[in-house]
Amino acid sequence: MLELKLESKAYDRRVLGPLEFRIEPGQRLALVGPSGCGKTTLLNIIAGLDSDYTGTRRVQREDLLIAYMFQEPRLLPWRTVAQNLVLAGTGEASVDAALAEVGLHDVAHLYPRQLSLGMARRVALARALAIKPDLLLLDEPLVSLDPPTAGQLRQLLKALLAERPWLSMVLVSHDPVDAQELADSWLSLEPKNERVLLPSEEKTASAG
Amino acid sequence: MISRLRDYLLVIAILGVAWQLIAAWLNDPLLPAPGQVLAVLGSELERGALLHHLLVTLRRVAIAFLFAMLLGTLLGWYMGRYRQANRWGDPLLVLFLNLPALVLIILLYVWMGLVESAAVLAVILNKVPNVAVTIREGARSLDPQLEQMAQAYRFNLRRRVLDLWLPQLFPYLMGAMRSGLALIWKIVLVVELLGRSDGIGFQLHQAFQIFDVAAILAYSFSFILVVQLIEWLLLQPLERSARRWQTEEEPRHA
Repeated sequence: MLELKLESKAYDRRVLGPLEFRIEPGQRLALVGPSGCGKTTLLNIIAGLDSDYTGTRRVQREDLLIAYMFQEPRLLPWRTVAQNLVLAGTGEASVDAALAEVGLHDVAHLYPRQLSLGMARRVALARALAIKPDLLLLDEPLVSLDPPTAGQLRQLLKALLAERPWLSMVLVSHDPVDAQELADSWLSLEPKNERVLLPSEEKTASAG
Repeated sequence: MISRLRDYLLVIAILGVAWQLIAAWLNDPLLPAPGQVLAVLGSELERGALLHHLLVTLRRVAIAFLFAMLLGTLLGWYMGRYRQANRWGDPLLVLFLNLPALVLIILLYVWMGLVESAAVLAVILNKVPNVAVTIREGARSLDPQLEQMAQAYRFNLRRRVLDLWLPQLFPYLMGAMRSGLALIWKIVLVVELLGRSDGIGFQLHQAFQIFDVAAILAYSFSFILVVQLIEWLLLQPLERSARRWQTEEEPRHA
C-alpha cells in the first residue's frame, strides 16, 4: 500500500535512516523509541507532509487517503467542533454519527477551547476516521492524559480499529504498552547508534 | 455597554464645559464657544453644504481605504510568506514609509495634474506601506502546526483562505483598518486642501483664508463623528462576531 525507502533525513545532523519498510492493508505498525529519535519526523514523511529527505516514498494508489491524528489535537480554534469535522471532509449529515462513535455527544456546537484535552483528542480522532482513510497515522495519541482517560481512549482506539480490519495504522509512541496493545508489528528507532531494527513480525495476542 | 456609553458622554461633557469656560474667559473670536460652533454646524447643514462636502470626502476616503487595504494586504502577505518577495519589497517599503505624504501628493499633482485620480492615488500610495507592514507581521506569525493539518486534510485554497488564514490575520487586519481609517481621512484633507475644489479639506482651506475658526471646528467635528460612527456601527460589530470563539462561556471541563 505504501512503501518507504528512506536513505537519510537530516536537520543539522542525520536523524533518520537508512531504513526501509512497507505498510500493507490492515497492518498495524508501531514506531517506538525514546523521545527525540525522529518518530514524528518519520510519521510526517509517511504522511507526505515532509518531502525534504533522500529516499523514495511510493503509494500504491494516488488517491490513497491518509488521516493524521497529530499529537496536539490541532483543531481550528475559531471553528466549532462540527465545522472542524466538515472542513476536513466529513459530510454535514454524518458529523453527529462521527462524534458519537468516539463517545462524544452534544459537543458539535462547542469551540475547541471549551473542550478538555481528552475530548479534543477524541474530536481529532473522529475527524481522522470520518474521512474514511486507508491509512491512519497516530502520533502519541495517549500522551499527557491522566491514566484513567488514557486507558479509556486506548480501549476506544482498540475497538474502533477492530471494527475496521482493512484499515492500516502507524502508531508513534514512547510507551511500549500502547504499542503492544494497538499494533501487530514494531519498528524501534534507536537514536544512539544510528541503527534501525527492522520490524519484528511478532504478533501480540491482543492485537491478533 | 451602557456604562461605557455613559463614560464616553461624560468625557465629552467635561471637555465641552472646559472649552466653554476658556472661550468665555478669553472672549476672542479666534476661539469660538461650543454653542457658536454648533450654530455654524446647523446652518451649514441647512444650506446643504456640509452634507455635500462630507459625502465627497467620505467617497474619497472609502475608495482610498478599499484599495489601500486590498493592495497592502496582498503585498504584506507575499512579503511575509516568501523570503524573496520580502527581499525585493523591503527597500521599496522603507522608501515609501519614509517619503512624506506631502511630497507624494505634490509630485502626483505635478505629474498628473490637479485631477481626482491623482488625489486618490496619492492617498492610496501613502497608506499601502503601513498596511503591508502590519499584514506582513501577521503572515509571519501563522501557526505552522495548523498549516500542516490543513495540508494533511487537503484543504483547498478557498478553505485555507477563509478558515485558516483570515482568522489568524484578523487582529492584524483590524489594526490596519483602524489606523488606516484615521490616517487616510487626514491625508484626504491635505489632498483636498492642495488641489481639489470640494470636500472638507477644501472647505477648511476657505475657512482658513478668512480665519473662520468656528467653521474649521464645525467641519472637523462632523468628520470625527462620521469616523466614530464607522467604528461603532461597522468595526466593533465585525470584531465582536469574529471574536466569538474567544468569548464563549468558559470551558465546562477543567
